[in-house]
Amino acid sequence: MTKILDEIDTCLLQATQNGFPLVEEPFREIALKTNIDEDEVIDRLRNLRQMNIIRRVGASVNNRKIGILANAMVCWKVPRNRIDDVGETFSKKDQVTHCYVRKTIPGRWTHNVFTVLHGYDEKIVEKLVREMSELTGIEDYMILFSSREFKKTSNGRIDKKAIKLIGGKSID
Amino acid sequence: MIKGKSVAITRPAHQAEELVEIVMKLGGQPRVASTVEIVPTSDIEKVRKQFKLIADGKSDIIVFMSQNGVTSFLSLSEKLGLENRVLKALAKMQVVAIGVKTKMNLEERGIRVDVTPADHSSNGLVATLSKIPIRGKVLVVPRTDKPTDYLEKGLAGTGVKIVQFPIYETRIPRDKTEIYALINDILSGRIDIITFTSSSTALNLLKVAEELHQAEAVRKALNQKVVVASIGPVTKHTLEEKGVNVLVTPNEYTVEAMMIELERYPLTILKHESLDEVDLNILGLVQKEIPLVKKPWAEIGLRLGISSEEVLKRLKDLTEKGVIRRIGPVIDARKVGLKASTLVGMRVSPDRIDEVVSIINEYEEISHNYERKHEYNVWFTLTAPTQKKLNMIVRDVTRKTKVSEDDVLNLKTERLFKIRGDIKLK
Repeated sequence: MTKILDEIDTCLLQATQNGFPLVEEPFREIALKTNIDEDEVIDRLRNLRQMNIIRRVGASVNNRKIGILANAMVCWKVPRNRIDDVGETFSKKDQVTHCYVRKTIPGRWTHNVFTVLHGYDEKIVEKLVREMSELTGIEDYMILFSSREFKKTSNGRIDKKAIKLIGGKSID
Repeated sequence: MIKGKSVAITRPAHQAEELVEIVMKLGGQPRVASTVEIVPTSDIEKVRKQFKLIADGKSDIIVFMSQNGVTSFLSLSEKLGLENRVLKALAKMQVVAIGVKTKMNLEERGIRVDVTPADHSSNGLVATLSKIPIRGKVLVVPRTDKPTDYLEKGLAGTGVKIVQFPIYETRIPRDKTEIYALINDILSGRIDIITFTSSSTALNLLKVAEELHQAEAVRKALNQKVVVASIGPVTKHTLEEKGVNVLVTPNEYTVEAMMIELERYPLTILKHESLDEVDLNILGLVQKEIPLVKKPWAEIGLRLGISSEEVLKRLKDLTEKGVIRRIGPVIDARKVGLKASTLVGMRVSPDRIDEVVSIINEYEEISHNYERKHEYNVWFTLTAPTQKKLNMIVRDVTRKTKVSEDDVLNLKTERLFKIRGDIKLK
């Protein structure tokens, strides 16, 4: 198994998991905390970003706090041979933040493509969903608006066991 | 949740008391600004004929539609010099009160009430009236200056003669100072919740906004910054026709039910923080990509023409307000060995949601968890190093939450088309 992350990478990702410190020179502070040289901190983060292990270096915004109150998960029933083009069309929409194909459960759940959409209100989102339906001709769908958010964190946590699996080493 | 929120009350001042009390009891700040004033009909000669009909004993059933109806009815009969005769006639008639409050109001004035519909809606009233013998009878309905035809429609073919007549008028209050202040507060984000207890409360607010050339701004602010509650479907419909989205409407059309429903709405009541142009520009940049350089905020400031200190100050402020959750690297779960992921939908009885959610949220493998408006009402996402481990966790959650396996959907990820954390800002 090839080593993707080494001990230092892992250490860095763990140290920045809760975000960068909001100071003039954040990487200097991280350097002090991890005992890794500031230049190396920056180089390694750049490298991880380049390899797309880091998807994005940026702020996570709480949509609801800025008035984007409507969050809809839309479940679509898409025929197998249409998944490629439909998935691509859906993904092109700015307001679509997630688009997944999921395994169905015959007899219980037969919608296979899932999109998550955000909008200032439910009407706007409903209109967009109608557009997506017209654009693709997929008419069998369900809109599930969220009424409460119970948890929202990053799914790309640094799981200690996972790190061992990919050949890295975790620090405590 | 109402605690700590400012709640605007638009109903007439003399009816606002009950709402004010409930809001205070729930820890909210009531903000009364009546958009409606109710006054007895000014042209009393117009209604003399109908009052004579009652006084002369020529009507059989009377329906009181509101407490205002009772007050105006009695004050008008007094003005017409028919009070004693009307009261005597009422004693011989069947008296119907639309709701408990109206009933109490009538009884306080010494008027016996025969029937009160169990359901205080138009349908409930029609159902109740259909049950009493009404063929050949005269039914009088003193009401507002805006009559509706649902009684005529609902009782068509029953052989009853319906006489509706206006006894009070609703209008925009002469003194609009309070409404101006309310509009100002709505626009500047100082109102968290607004309650509308009739169509006129909503229409009048928008009319005054229009006079100020602020109708569009108010509509937008209501949709973005305020949780709008309506007492029932008619008021909701009126608001929606005007482009205002209603988030809360109770199943039972009472003030209490509306407030209970509002209390149950924790998520949408989060206040929309007011952001200025600079905030939006900063957010637009920092949510996309932060430069990996020694002084990243200085670089962002350079692009926006502001100082590094200003960027930092605003980022801290936005973080404190909760607009920014965190700033840092977002890791691709699959690339760090979390190769298996799934979405789980659960059917949970509403009274168990809180308990089930607290168990689910304990798992660090579970990153997102939402309540959604569907038969399957709790939905969470889960990542794990292997499919085996993933299934193990789903089974463990199912067991711990005591949700039946038949109520759990484990919808495994087959393919990812798109995942993006940033969002287009207006």
